[in-house]
Parts: sequence; C-alpha cells; structure tokens
Amino acid sequence: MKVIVCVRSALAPGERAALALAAGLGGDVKVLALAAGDAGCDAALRACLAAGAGYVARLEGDALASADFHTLGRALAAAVRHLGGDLVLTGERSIDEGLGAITGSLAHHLDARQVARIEALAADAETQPASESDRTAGAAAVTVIVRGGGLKRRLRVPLPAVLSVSDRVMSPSLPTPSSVPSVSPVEREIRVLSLTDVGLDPGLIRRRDVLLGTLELAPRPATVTGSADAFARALRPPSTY
Amino acid sequence: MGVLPADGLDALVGGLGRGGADTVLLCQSPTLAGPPLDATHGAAIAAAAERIPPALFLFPAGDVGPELGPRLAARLGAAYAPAADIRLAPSARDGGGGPSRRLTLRRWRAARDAYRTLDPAELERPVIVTLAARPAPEESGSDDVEIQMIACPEPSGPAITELEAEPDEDADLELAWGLVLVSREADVPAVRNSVQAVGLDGVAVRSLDQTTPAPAMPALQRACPGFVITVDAGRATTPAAGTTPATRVGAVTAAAAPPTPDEIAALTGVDVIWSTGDGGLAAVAAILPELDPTRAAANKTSGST
Repeated sequence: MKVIVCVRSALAPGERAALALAAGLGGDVKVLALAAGDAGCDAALRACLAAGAGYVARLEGDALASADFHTLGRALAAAVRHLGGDLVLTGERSIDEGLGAITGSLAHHLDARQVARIEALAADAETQPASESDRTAGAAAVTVIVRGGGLKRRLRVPLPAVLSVSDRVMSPSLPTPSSVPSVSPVEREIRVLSLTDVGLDPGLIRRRDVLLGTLELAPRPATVTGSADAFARALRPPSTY
Repeated sequence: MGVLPADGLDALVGGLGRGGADTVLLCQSPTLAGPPLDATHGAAIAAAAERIPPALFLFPAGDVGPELGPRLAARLGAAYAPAADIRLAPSARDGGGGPSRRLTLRRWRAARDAYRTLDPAELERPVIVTLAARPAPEESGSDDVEIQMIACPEPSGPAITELEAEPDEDADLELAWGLVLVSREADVPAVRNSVQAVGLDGVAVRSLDQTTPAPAMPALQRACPGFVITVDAGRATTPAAGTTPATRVGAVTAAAAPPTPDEIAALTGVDVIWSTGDGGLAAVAAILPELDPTRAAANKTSGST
C-alpha cells in the first residue's frame, strides 16, 4: 500500500498526526509526503523524512501556496495520480486559515471516498490484497475511528480513499530517523514535480483569496481585570442571527 | 435524510418548521441510516442543492459539516466557511433604518490573529457554512411546512462499513459552546452543579487534570467556540493550545497576588485574566449566566423598555 501524506509549509497538528499514523501502519507500506508550493515547503518535507516518510515530493508552483482549496485540491489530486497513491492522508486543518477544506476537494478531484477527522488508522487485515490484480480492483481497505453523533465508530474504508486526521490525535512521539527503516540517499532527496509533469496547465494556478473573505487583523493581547463584569464582557460570545 | 417512522417524521418536520424552515426536502433511503459520510449522504446533499440552488447552505455545529461541507463546496464550486457566525446588520438598501438586513459570515482564522468576513451577496457562488456552536436561538417559525421529496442517489462502489460503535465520552464537547476547566478533579461536580443550577445548556466542565498535558487536551480543539475558562486555585493557567480560534479564553486565578507580567506573557492565547483574590470557584459560578449571549441580549432588551 502506498500512502501519501499531504503537508503544508508549516506542519499542522493533524499533518504530524497523519505522518505518525501512516508510519505506524507497518507491513508493506510506503509513505510519501507531498507538498504543493515553492521551496518554502522543503523544511517541512525534510521534517517528514525524519518523521517516517520514506520519500518526499513537492509540486512546484509559486502560486500554489495562495491558491484556493478548489485549485489546490485539483493540483494535489493530479500529483497523487502521478505518484500513484492508494491512500491519501491530510491534516484536519491548516494552522493559518484553518478551513479544513482540502480533503473534500482532493477526494472530489480523485473521485475517491473520504472520511474527515479520523483518530486512528490501521490496515484492514481481512481485505489486504493478495495480489496486484486485487489491489487494482480496489480490494484493500483500512479501518479508522471517527467521532460523531455521540459515538466513536470504527469504520472499514475501501481504498482508494482520502482521510483527514483529527487535530485530536496527539503525535508527540513521531518516529525518529533512527527508528524508521533506512532510507537511501537518493530517496532522501526532495523530488520536485512541475505542474506540467502531473498534467496540469500552469495557467490554471492563480492566486485567489476571494473565497476566504476579507481579512481584518484582530490582535488579542491578554488583559488583566479584578472585575467580574469586565471578565464576563470579555468572554461573552457575540449575539448572532 | 434517513429512514424514519411516520411519527418520527412528523416530529422532525415540525421541529424544523418551528426552527424557521418553510420547506423541507425529504430523502429517505436505507443507505442513509448510518453515520453521515460523503459516501452515503454526499450525493443526496448535492441533489438537495440542485433542487433548490442555495446562496447559503448551512450545516449545524458538530461533526456533520466538516465531513460533508467541503466536498459539497467542491461539487458546487462554492466557498466554504467553518465554525462561522451569522451576522445581521442594517442594510443600505432601505437607508439602514428599515427592516432589511445584510447578512455576513464571520469566522476566526485558525492562527487567531484575524477574522474573515464573507459577504455572500458579493460572491457569485454559493457559500457552504458550518455554524459555530452557540446557544439555540428562540424558535420563530411554525408547523406549517411544505415537504418535497427528492430521490436518493444510490452510492457507487464498495461501501464504507461500520464495524463497531461505542459511546463517545467527549460527545458533549462537540456541541459545547462553553467550557470550564477547574484545577482539581474534586471540584468538577460542584462546578457542574453550578452550571445546571443556572440552566446553562452547552457548557461542559472538565478538570485540568483530564486535559493537561496530554493526550486529552486536543479533545478541546473543536469544542467551545464561545468561551473557555480555567479556574486555578494557584496561578492562572492557559488552555488555549487546544481551543478553536474563535474561542474567548479566560483564566481565573484565586492566588492572593495578581499575575506578574512574565506570567501574563506566558499565557499564550488567553484573552482575559481575572484575579479573583480568594473568590475562585464561587465567583466563576456567579458570572456564568452572564456568558450566555441570548440571555445577555434579552437582558439588554428588557432593560431598554
């Protein structure tokens, strides 16, 4: 099974957790970390190598870092197809905007199943393909744990699939380089893919933030009060509707 | 969407009407009986959006929106706004003094440094929204609801199957809009009693022992977009590492001396620190009703008439 973990230039908690879950699958699993953007992503990719990724790739494109989730999902999907992943993991949300929309966009463009905010991941022993033809037929599956509706559910998810990993999953014990299988010097290089390499027209990638809305900076320095009223006013949620 | 007996359907539709729905699109299929996943529910949601093309498509707070919302946005080419509040302001259309209201959506960036405001009227595409958890507004609709049936598209390909399920001990956090963290496990029942005594739904109580340092602290990450208060008999404590960006974070310290500048600087993500002296838990219990925005609005209205 080939697992592709999509990461940003600044690794979010869910992305770190995704790496840990992928590295923990064990068995005949290849873990690849994929980023989209400029060389600013390379530090994160090197951290992925240290955290258990067997090899890493970057889809090159200056405008990708500021592209909207539709464009980014399309670009990443093209790269995933090019690289041939069975399972794609993302973080629940980025640490800057925090939309959490890439998983849906990526799954849409890959026409793959998706599950959001998983908390555990395991290869499904009953459905691991015995042969390459089984794999091609989509016989493999993983099991995941998700929360919702007052329940923690264990689900079997057939592959190919795109799963986002919950920020709830703690990943302080990311594998260290010494604890992961040895990686050859060649594989430790960051493989840089152009948009053309993955079959995309570079002209499609544009900076576009209209879908995010207008930005209003709102610094939030801590204040100290000895007044109950002032404390309550500072914490009261806005009245909406 | 789902499979409901007739009496369950009546109750559901009636509740939606009283909540403000004029029309209910009804899709029934055994495939919708499981958890709300895109594989089972996504096509039906998209069919609903096709029947009545929306300017806004609202998912309630909780787990459904993050699962179904982004993919619906991808299908529709729409914008997506998670954990957003709806804001209504006087509209320039009637000079600002009439009944028209301009609707915008506001959400905090995850980085907590800024917020984003989306004006659906300025976008030439729909906006898919997952609402932030808030106290329920008063019902303002009626039972008079039109029901339209929509066909349920059959899922394609191998199905996602549920192998087992167990109660989620943190389920209350998913829909909580407020959270009180107390320093000692032994104080949790007393604070819970205080919350119940003032009739606050949607306020969860945990001990800091349960939530720090790991692994339970991230369980708060999507919870409580209203407020989080830590109450520490000693020094003020920060819970902010696990909160949503919109969460207003307060730290209460019952220490004799107010926090020093260094201590304040160390409280990353805390909006306000309340030095209660020896008040502590009792002081917090007294202000809890003031944190309910619907009550605050009601008090303001009654005070002005």
